[in-house]
Amino acid sequence: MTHDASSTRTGNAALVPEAATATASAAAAAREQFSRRHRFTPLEVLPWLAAIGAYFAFPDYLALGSQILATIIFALSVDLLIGYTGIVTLGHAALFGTGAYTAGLLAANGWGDPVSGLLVAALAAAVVGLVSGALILRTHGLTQLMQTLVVAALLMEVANKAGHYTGGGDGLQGMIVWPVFGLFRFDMFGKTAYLYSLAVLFVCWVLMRTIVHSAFGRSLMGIRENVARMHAIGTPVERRKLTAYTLSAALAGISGALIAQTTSFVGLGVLSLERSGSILIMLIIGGVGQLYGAFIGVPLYMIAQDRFATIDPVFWYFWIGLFMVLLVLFARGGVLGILTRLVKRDGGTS
Amino acid sequence: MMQTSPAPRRTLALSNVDAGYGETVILNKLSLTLTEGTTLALLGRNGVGKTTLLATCMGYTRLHGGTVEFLGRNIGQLAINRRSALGLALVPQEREIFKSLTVEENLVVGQRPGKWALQRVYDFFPSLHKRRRSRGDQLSGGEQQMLAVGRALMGNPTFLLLDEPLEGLAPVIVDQLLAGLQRLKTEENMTMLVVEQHAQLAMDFAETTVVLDRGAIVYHGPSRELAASKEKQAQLLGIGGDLGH
Repeated sequence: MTHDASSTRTGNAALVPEAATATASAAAAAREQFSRRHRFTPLEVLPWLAAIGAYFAFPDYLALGSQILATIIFALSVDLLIGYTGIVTLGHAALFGTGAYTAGLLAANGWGDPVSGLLVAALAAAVVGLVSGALILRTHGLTQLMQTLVVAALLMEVANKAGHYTGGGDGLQGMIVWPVFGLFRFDMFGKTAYLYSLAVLFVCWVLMRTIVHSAFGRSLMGIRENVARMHAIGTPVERRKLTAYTLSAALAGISGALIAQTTSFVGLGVLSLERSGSILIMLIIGGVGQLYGAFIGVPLYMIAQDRFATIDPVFWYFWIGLFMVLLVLFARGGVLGILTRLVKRDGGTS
Repeated sequence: MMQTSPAPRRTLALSNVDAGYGETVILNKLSLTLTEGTTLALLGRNGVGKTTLLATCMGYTRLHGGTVEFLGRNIGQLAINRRSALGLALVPQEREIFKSLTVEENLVVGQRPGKWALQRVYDFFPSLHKRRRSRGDQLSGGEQQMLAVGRALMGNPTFLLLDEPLEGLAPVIVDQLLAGLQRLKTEENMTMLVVEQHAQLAMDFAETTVVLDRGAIVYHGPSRELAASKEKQAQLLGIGGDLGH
């Protein structure tokens, strides 16, 4: 038996002019929301002031500084996946390494222009991200985690076996990186490398900031919080996740390429599990899913690593581990989480 | 010459539907058709398949048999987001507000072009406008419910499925929410299927009532008829005396 719930009301009246007005006002409202979300706050200047200050304050550490700046880009790319989209990965070094090897192979084979090298590296990593992401994102949970590991392991073995091109375990030798824009030669003090890395980081940060504050970025947060609900409100969840994965891959590729160009060397370590794991630790230290966690976690980890390795060359990893344990026990949300809570507490008591 | 208004279109049509979760079948040979502008209250005891029926319309369950049509199209195997794009929207029982997003972000995250935009939702639910910068986890139950309805409307649906929208709300908030839903019914001609435990309120709101029992329809008719018969209510819904509010 079919049950009919019939209506006595008529259908919708012609709504064309009303719909046009509504669409125009919706577009205006969307523009207003976009500009409000993208409004810069004074605190956002701090990382850049610190980076410029470090250039003058620590001239002997510019090589480490440029590594930190490039690694922040890698952490941002992982944050886009884990912090904003909720995709956990243990193999993001695959994309970092793809970028590093692409830039390295270009520079070792007669194309040493750093800027176009970065762009080609980003493209190569994005393609690897798109293809591997299409497979990885079909799975969930532990299987997905294993898939990310497998992709990195496969690429590492490819780089190892293709020793004729990549140098295998000895690393890629003979990179010649041209001056930036044909003007600024990479010097032995690391000044150009530092400023070049800072400029690239700034561009990547603007890109990342735009992504996470856009409607697309908000939909990624929705996916992280409740995938089923995002499906129900009509979001093409799988496509959004793949787009995020590809964008994240491009950022990781830029980071890898930047390190390859500024150190003129690429070794198998760029594809290692250790690199994938350490970037996660850095992000957790800083604070996941908060955009600026990368700016805190990466310098803290890398400076601590540098200092601990100098003070205690044998057990330096123990101190890093102890620091992590304390952080997880007493500072959920990372250093940025602690700072946010302190600011809120002060705001609440004042 | 006299003009006749067009016959209302058939929107959602379930025919001999067997559906459930995994191998478990909860809905048995269920058939139900709704035409444009209809409001239908879906009542029944706990665990009889009311939420499963809504979930089946949205594509969350496994369809073991029968067809689900929306606007003449078989959507039985269509992905959830594609159903939403066709004009179906579900307001879930748990509300499922995105806690880390603001009210405004919750609304725009699933926005699709059409007459429903932020300002229109704010006109319907003014308290959402006041709280537009607040995060989802800072809202009261009533505000969350309004936000859940508003978020569904931002997708510009033609058909709203509401799963216990009044559950756990204070009477004053229930009145506010019902006023909004009433406007949707009268001003927007929105087709709505409402699952509700407050039987009396649901029957006051919807012109037609369906009662489910063990996955099958045991009553289908005008709400006023069921509302007028305490005996029938006791028999079908297992409650006597005062029903809900």
